Amino acid sequence: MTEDQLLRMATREEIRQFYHEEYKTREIPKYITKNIHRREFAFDRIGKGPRDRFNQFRELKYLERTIKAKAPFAAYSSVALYDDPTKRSGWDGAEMVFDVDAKDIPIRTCNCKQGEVCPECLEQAKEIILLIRDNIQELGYKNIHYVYSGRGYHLRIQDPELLQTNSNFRTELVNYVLGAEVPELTGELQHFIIPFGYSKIYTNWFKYTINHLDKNKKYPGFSKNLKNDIIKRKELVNKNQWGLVRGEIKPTRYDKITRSIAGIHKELCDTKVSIDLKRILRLPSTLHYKVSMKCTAIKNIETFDPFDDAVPNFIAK
Amino acid sequence: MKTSYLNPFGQAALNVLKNFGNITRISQKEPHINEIITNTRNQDPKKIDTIQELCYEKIRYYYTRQANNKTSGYKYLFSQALEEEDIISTHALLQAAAITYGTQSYEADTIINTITSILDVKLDQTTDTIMDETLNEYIDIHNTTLNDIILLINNNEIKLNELLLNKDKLILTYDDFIREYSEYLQHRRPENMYQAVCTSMKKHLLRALITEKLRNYMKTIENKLKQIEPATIITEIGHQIKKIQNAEQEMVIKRRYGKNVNFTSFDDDNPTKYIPEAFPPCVQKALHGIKSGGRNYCISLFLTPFLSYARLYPGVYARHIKNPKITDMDPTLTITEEEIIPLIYEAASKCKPPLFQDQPQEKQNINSKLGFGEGEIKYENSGKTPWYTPINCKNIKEQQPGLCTPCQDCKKIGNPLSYYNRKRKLLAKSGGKG
Ligand code: SF4
Ligand SMILES: [Zn+2]
Repeated sequence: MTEDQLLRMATREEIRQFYHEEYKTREIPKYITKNIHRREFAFDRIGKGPRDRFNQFRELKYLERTIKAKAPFAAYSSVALYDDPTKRSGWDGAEMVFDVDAKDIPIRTCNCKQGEVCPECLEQAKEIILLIRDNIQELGYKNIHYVYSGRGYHLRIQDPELLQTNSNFRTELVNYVLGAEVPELTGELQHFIIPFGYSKIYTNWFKYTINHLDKNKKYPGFSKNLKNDIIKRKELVNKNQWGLVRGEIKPTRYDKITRSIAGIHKELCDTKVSIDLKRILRLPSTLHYKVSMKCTAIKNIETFDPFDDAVPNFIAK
Repeated sequence: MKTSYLNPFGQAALNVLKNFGNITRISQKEPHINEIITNTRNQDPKKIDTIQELCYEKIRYYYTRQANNKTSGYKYLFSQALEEEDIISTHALLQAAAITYGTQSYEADTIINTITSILDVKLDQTTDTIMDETLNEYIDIHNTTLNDIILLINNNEIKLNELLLNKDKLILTYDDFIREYSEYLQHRRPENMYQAVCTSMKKHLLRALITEKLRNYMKTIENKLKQIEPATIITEIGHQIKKIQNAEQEMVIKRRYGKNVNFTSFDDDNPTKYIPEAFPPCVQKALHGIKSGGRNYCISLFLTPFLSYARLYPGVYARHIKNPKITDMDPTLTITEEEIIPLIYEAASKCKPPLFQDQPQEKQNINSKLGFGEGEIKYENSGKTPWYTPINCKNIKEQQPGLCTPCQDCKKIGNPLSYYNRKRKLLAKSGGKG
C-alpha cells in the first residue's frame, strides 16, 4: 500500500461496497447506542453535506437497516440528547467536544496543500488532542472518549456536570484548555513567572507553538520580523529563559507576540463545534469518503494508528 | 469594617433591613446623612437628606463614571459611616426596577450596573480579611469546586481563566496556595505571589457572586409582585429611574456628538451617523432593491447586518468582543427603530415584487438577524440569536454575483464594512463631507 493510494476519495461504488460488505454497527460506541433513541441522526445522501436531518431511531437495528440501504456519503449523530430528536425539542444536555482537524491546524509542519491531509499532520492532530486531554484532566474531568474522524480527532467529554452547561461556559472552557487568551495578570507579573494554573497552560502552548512555527510560512498577527525574532529565540524558550527572550525582543513587541500566539491557539481546534449545543458529529463506524478512512472509536489513544486501525477493506486489499 | 460593607445580602445586612422596618421610611429626612457627607474627606459639598435621594445619587454616579467624568462629588457613597443607608437604598433600587420594569429590562440592567460600579470601588478599599469573610457568606473558601460556581460562568459573570484551579478545586486561601504551590515559588516571597495572583481573583469572584445574587433577588421580587401590592414609594423610585436615565443619557450623547465630529479620531466602537457616500457599490445597489431571485439574501442576510453594524458598531472587526448585542450599542433601540429598520424596509419595498408583499414573514427573519430571535425588537429579546456580522465579498460574489460591481476601492478590502470604514476615512481626509 503506497502513500498515494491512501487518503484518496472513495468512489460511489466503493461506498456501497463498504456498507454492504464490511459495515458493522457494533463498532458504534456504547455511549451512543445506549441512548440511541434520544439522539438526532443525519445523513449526507448525495455528497453535498448532511441535509437529511432530524432522524430518530428507536433501536440499533433500524439504524443499521437505514445505513446499509442508503449507503450514505456520510452519517452523523448528535452530541445532544433530546426528548424528541425529530424536532430537536426537549434538549437534555450535550457532550462537550474538541474537534481537531488535521487540515485546519494553523501550525502544520508538513507540506500539505490547503484542504489536504497526510500522515504527518494527522500525527500532529493526535499530538494536539493529547495536549488538550492533559489540560482537561487537570481540571478534574474524567469521562473522556476519543474518535478518529477520518481527517483528525474528536475528543468527547461526558462528565455529568458538563452536560448541562451552556455555550458561554463551553467558550470559556475552550479558551482555557487551549490557552487562547493572554493571561490577565496584575502588576509586574508575566505568564512565565507563574508555573501553575492557567498561566502554565498558556505557557506550555506558547512553547508548543513556537516550536512548530516555520520561517517560510505566514501566520496571522505576525509580521516577518516579529516571526523571525521569536523563531530565533526558540532555544531560549525551550530552556525557559523567558526574561531574556522578553528583554531581547523588547516588552511591547513581546506583548504583541503573546496576543498573536493566543490567536493561533484558538485555531487549534474548531471552536464552533465545541460551543454548539446541538452539533452533529460524524458517526464512528461509518466511512469518511473524501479520504477513504473509517471514522473510528478509539480504545487506546496512545497506541492508535489510523493507518492500522481505520483503513477500510476496499483500500487495505 | 464589616462584611455588610460589601454584601447587601449577608446576615448583618439583613439585620439592618429588619431594624429599619417599613420601607416607606426612606422618604423621611435623616439629617445625619448630610453630616456624614460634609465630613467625608475631599468631598464636594452636597445636600442629601433622605435615603430616597441617595438612590438617585447612585444612578447619577454610575452615569458620571460611564462618561468618564469627575466622580469626586460622590466620595461619600463609599463611606463606612453610610453603610446602613447604602444597604437600604440598594434594596429599594432593586425592588423598584424589578417591580416597575421587570428583571429582563434595560432599567434592571442599569440598576445592577449601578450597584456593581459602587461595589468595585469598595472592593478596592477592602482588606483581605473582610473579603474572605464576605466570600464565606456565599461559599466555603476552603472547599469550593468549579462545579459549585459553574452557574457564574454559564451566566458570564466571571471568566474561567481568571480562576486559580487545582484539579477542580478553587485555590482561595493562603494555606491552600502554599500547600499546592510552594515548591514552585523558590525565588519569590510566597506572600507577595499570593497577593498578586489571588487577590484580584477573589475580587472578581466576590463581584460575580454578588451580581448573581442581585439578579436572583430581583427575580424573587418580580415573582412576589403577583401576590402583593408594591409600596407607592417604590413605584415612585421606579419612575424616577427612567427619568434620570433619560437625562443622563442625553448628556452622554451630547458629549459624544455635540461637538463637531473630528475626522482624525474616528470612534468606531460607538454609534456613528451614516455617511452614505462611503457605502460600497453593492450596498448602493441593494438599497435600490433588486428583482425577484435572491431578495431574501439581499435584504435579510446582506443589507440588514451591514446597515446595523455600519450605524451602531462599525469597528466590530477590529475588536474581539464576543457576541455583541445590538442593545449594547443602542440600549433604547431608538436608532434601530428610527433609522436602521426604515432603511431596510425601504430597500425591501423597492424590490420587485416588494419583498413583504409575498413574504411578510421575512420581517421576522430580519429581527432574528439583528439578534431578537423569534421575538419583536425589544430590549429583553436582544441577544436571543446572534447579531449577524456583515457578509464578506467572497460570499457575496458566490451567492449573489449581480450585487457586486467592484470599483477601485474594492481591491483593498474583503468585506463591505471594511470598505465603508476605509472610505469614510479617505473622504474625511480629502475634505469630503461626512
Ligand atoms: S468587492 Fe465587496 S465591497 Fe466591493 S462591490 Fe463587491 S461585494 Fe461590495
Ligand atoms: Zn499534512
